[in-house]
Amino acid sequence: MKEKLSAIIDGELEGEIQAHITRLRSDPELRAAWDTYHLIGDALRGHLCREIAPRVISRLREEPTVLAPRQRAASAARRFGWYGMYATASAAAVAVVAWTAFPGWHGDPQLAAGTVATTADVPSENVVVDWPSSDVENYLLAHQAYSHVSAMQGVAPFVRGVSEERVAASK
Amino acid sequence: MTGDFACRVWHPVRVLPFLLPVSAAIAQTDPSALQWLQRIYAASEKLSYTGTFVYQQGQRSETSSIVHVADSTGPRERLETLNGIPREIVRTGDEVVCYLPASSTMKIDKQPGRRPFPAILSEQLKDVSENYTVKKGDVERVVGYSCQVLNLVPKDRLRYGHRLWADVSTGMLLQAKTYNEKNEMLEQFFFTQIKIGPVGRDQLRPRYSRQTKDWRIEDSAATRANLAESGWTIRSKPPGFRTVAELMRTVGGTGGVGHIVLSDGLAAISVFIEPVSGKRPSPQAGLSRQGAINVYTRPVGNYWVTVVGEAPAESVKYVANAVEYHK
Repeated sequence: MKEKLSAIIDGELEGEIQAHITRLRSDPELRAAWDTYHLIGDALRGHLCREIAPRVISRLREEPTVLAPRQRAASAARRFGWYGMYATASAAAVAVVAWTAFPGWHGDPQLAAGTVATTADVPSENVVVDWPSSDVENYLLAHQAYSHVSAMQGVAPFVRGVSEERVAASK
Repeated sequence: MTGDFACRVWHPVRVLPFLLPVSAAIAQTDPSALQWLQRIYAASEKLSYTGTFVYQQGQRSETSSIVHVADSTGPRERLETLNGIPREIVRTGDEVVCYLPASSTMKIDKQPGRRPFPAILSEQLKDVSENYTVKKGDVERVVGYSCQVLNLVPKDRLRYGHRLWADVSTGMLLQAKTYNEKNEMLEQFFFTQIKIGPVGRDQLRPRYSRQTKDWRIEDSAATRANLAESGWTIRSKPPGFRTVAELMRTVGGTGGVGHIVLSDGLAAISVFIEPVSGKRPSPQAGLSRQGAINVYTRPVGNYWVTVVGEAPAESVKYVANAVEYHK
């Protein structure tokens, strides 16, 4: 059923949609899966909305016709096949969660590397990558001087780079 | 890819909630609150002080000492971290020197595009009041000083909110917090000790002088530039942001890096355009963040475009995806 749900989102099962929607309405587990697939899709397309569940459910109740086929996702699925699409999407979703849960520069390097490798030319805008700290630091140093927030605080914001360096050193 | 992005951004359902003012921002900016903001900027330039402050972000915090001297030659500052890896930052006018003794590196950065105070002030305050609702809060005590609380509430979700605590008698900023759209604190600075008043210039002398060590010097060698002439443009900017500086510089030993700065009067977003170099590993595409700073990198032809800003990820990515190269 979950594979079919995925297919609905990508507009590949138009004839059976109504039956699936009826099941979706009554099954909390399927609704959760629905939310997850939307989160994944949004992550891949570069959106992140954290109030997905209420939004989707209210739309389902009021306006089932919003389930129009989504061409972009479907074409991406065709290009990579279902397995590739799902693996990519899952990795992206986990990376996004990791990013939200652990603020800091670095995501999970393995996760990030795996995601980048499987996404190929699929946009991966919310994928958090492990970034060599010296690059971030150089950019930060160059950037800080132009911030008016920073201007109010003198050189104080320059310590942002310090935190980063510590984290890098303690890895 | 760029066409897709434009469609996504301007899809009405997507864009409307994004641009609608948050309900708290419907209230108008209080003119006396704007005057307070002006006082804070003035204090940051005209007061002398020594103190200790904490930068806190998530579970991490850093304590640093700061010396700030303002006299007829303009403000000078020295900051030194007190725990963790030693580091010292000295600012003299437009020049910032960063000493990293652990790696024997000295980074020198000059800011040719940075306009002196108070030339920026009136247009900057206008930008601030267009993009934020500035309101006075209560008077609260911070590190022994009575402070006026100022709330800067963003008018849309393209920027963060700020809460500031400024000393009632001098205008000195003693605490600052940054909030995201869910009103969660992203980071804060606060003094744990401060003495406002004359400071001897000897206290500005760097601990690590240029002679005491065999420093590897990284000079940014920044100069003003017109990047549009080189073919680089930002197709559309997030509402409320405009270009305030355009430079060419060296970043981390790589020369010929373009640098465009956008500002909304308070927050700044920097665009770095770096040629792909065999000399060092390529940055990875994607998003990373620390506290209120988001960084987003993507390849554009034979260049890496990296956008750094104390702004939400959406704004930073918006700018990165709008960077275009036309020969």
